[in-house]
Amino acid sequence: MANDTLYSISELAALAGVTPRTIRYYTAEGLLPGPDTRGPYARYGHAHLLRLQLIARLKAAYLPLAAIKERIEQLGEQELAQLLAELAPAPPPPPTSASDYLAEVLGRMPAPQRLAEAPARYEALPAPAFGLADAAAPRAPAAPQMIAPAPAPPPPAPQPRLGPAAALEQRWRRITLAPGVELHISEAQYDALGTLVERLVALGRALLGRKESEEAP
Amino acid sequence: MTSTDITLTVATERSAVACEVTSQRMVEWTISVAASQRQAERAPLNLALILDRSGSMQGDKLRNVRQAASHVLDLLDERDRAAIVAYDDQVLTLAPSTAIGDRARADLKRAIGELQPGGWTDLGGGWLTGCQQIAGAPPGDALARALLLTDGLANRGMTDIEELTHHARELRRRGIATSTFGVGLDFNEQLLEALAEQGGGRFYYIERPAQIPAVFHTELGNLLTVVAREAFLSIGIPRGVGLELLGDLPHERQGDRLRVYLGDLCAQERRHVYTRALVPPDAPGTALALHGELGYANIEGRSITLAATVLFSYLREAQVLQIPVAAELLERAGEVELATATAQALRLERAGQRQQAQALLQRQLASSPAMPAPAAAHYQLLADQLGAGLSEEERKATHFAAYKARQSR
Repeated sequence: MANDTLYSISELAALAGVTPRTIRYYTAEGLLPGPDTRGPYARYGHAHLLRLQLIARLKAAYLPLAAIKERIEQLGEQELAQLLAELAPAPPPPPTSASDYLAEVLGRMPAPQRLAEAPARYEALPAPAFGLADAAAPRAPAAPQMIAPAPAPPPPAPQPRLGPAAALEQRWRRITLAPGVELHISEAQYDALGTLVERLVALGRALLGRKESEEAP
Repeated sequence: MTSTDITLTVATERSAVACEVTSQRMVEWTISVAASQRQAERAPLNLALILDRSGSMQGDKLRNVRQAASHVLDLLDERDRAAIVAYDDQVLTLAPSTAIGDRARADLKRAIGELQPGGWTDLGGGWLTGCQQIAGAPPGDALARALLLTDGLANRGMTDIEELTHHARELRRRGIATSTFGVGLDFNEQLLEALAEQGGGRFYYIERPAQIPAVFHTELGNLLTVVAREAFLSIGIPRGVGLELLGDLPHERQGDRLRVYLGDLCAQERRHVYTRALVPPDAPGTALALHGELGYANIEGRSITLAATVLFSYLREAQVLQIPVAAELLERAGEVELATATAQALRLERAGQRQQAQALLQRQLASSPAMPAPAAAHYQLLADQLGAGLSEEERKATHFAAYKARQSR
C-alpha cells in the first residue's frame, strides 16, 4: 500500500484487525493520535496503521497499555516501521539438528553407504564387489567366504532398504594405479597380504607410468 | 544491511468487490531486493560439491565438472568451507568439510583432479553424505548449501523420489538447502526439480558439458549475494475467504495461514507470488483486508518481518464492474498458471499419457483469456507437441522453462 494512502475509520479497523470502537478507545487513551480531518470525513494515515499493528504485537507480548504508550508515543513513522520489522517472533526451531537427522537416515541405509571419516589417501571405504568382468550386470550376491561387515558407529537398521544379499557384501578397497586403472581388493586380503599389497601397487604404478614419488601408497 | 533493502508490496486486479455475489480476485505479492551496496559483507558459505562420477560421466563431462569445481573454489575465501563428495555406486568423500585457505584450496583442487569415472549412480547416498559433511562443520552463521550434480538416473541406494524429496524438505527445515544441476538428457528432471524446490535451492538444466562452469558460477554468484535467508510469505486467510496459491510452489497451510516458501533471496532479485482469492459477499461500505508478511533472517541472523495489506472495498456489483481491471497483472498470473499446467502435462507425457497431457494444457489455455496472442500461440503449439510426443531435448528444455516461469523470478 502507498504510504500516503488515507483510510476511513472502518477501513483502518479492517486493515488492523480491530473494531472502530477500539480505535476510538486508543485515541481517548492517548495511544493513537487523532485522525487528520479533511473536510467532513476523518482520515487516518499509514502511521496510524503502523501504530495499531505495533500495539497488537506488544499486547501479544503481555505489555500493559501504559507501557506500550510510553514505548511508542515518541516514534516517527520510520521508527515505527523498523520496530515492527524487528519484533516478529522467531519461528520455532525444528525438533532435531541436521546432523542427528542425517545420522538417523544414513544409519538406516545398509553398510556400503555408511562412511567413517575420509582417510588421508581418500580411498573408497565399504564397497561391494564390483564385477569388472561383468560390469553391465547388477551387483552379484555375496560369495560363500564372506566376512560380516566391520562394525560401524550407527545402530543396526531394523529394516535394511536393500535385500539381505547386499547386507552380506564384504568391504573392499579401491586403489588407483593409473587413470582408469584401479586395484580392487577386499579388506580381508588387504590385511592378510600386508606389504605385498604395497609392492603390488608400486609395481602396477611403475608399469603404468606413474612415478612412485608422486603418490605415497 | 537493513530491512529497507527488501520490500514487500501487494496489488490486485481490482480492489473493489461485489456485495451481492462472491468475487474472484487475483492478488500479486511482489518481493523486491535492492542492489547490494556493501559487497564486503556477505554470509560465509558452508558448501558441499556432490559430483556424479558414474561411468557415463567420462571425457568432456568430467573435465568440465573438474573445471567448474575448481572455479567454485577460486570464488570462495577464508570465510567459507567446502567438502567434495564423489559418488557412483559408492560414495567417496574426496575431501571432508575444510575451511578455505591457500593450502586447503590447493589440496581440494588436487582431490578434484583425481576424479575418475566409475560405476552406477547412488545419487541419494552421495547427496546425503555431502549434507552430512555440511552438518558436521563447526556451527556458525554460514549459509549451508549442497550442490548436487548428475548426468544420469539414480539407480543405486535410495531412488524413490518421494523419499528423497521428503529428506530435502527436512534438511531445508534444519538449515541445509540443496541446489541441483542436471547435465545432458539422461537425468531425471522431475527428481532434480523436486529436490531443489523442496530443498530451498535452485535447479539448473545444463544442456552441454561446456556450460557446466558458467552455471556453477551463476549459483555461486547467487550464494555470494544472499541478502535474506529462508524467506517465506505468510498470508492470513480471513473467515469465509478462499485462497488458492498459483505456481505449485512449496507451501504449508496451518489453520488460517498460508505459508509459501521462497528460499534465499539475492541482491537485485524480484519474486512474484500469485494467490487467487474468493471473496464472499458482504454489506456495502465494509471492507476486507488480506494481510501478508514476508519473514526471513538477514545475514546477521536476525529475524525480520515485512508486512503488506490489500484492501477490498464492498460496492454494488454494477459499480464494481465500472472499475477497470489491471490487465497486465492478470497476464503475468496467467503465465504462471500456464507454466504450472505445462509442468503437470509434462509429467503425464513422460508417463506416456500424451492425450491427457494435451487435454490438460488445452483446458488451461481455454480458461486463460487474458493471454496475449503470441504467448497463447506458443502454448497451443506446445499442447499439440505434447499430443504427438516430445523428444528428450524438447522435454528437458520445456520442463526447465516451465520451472523458471512458475517461480516468477
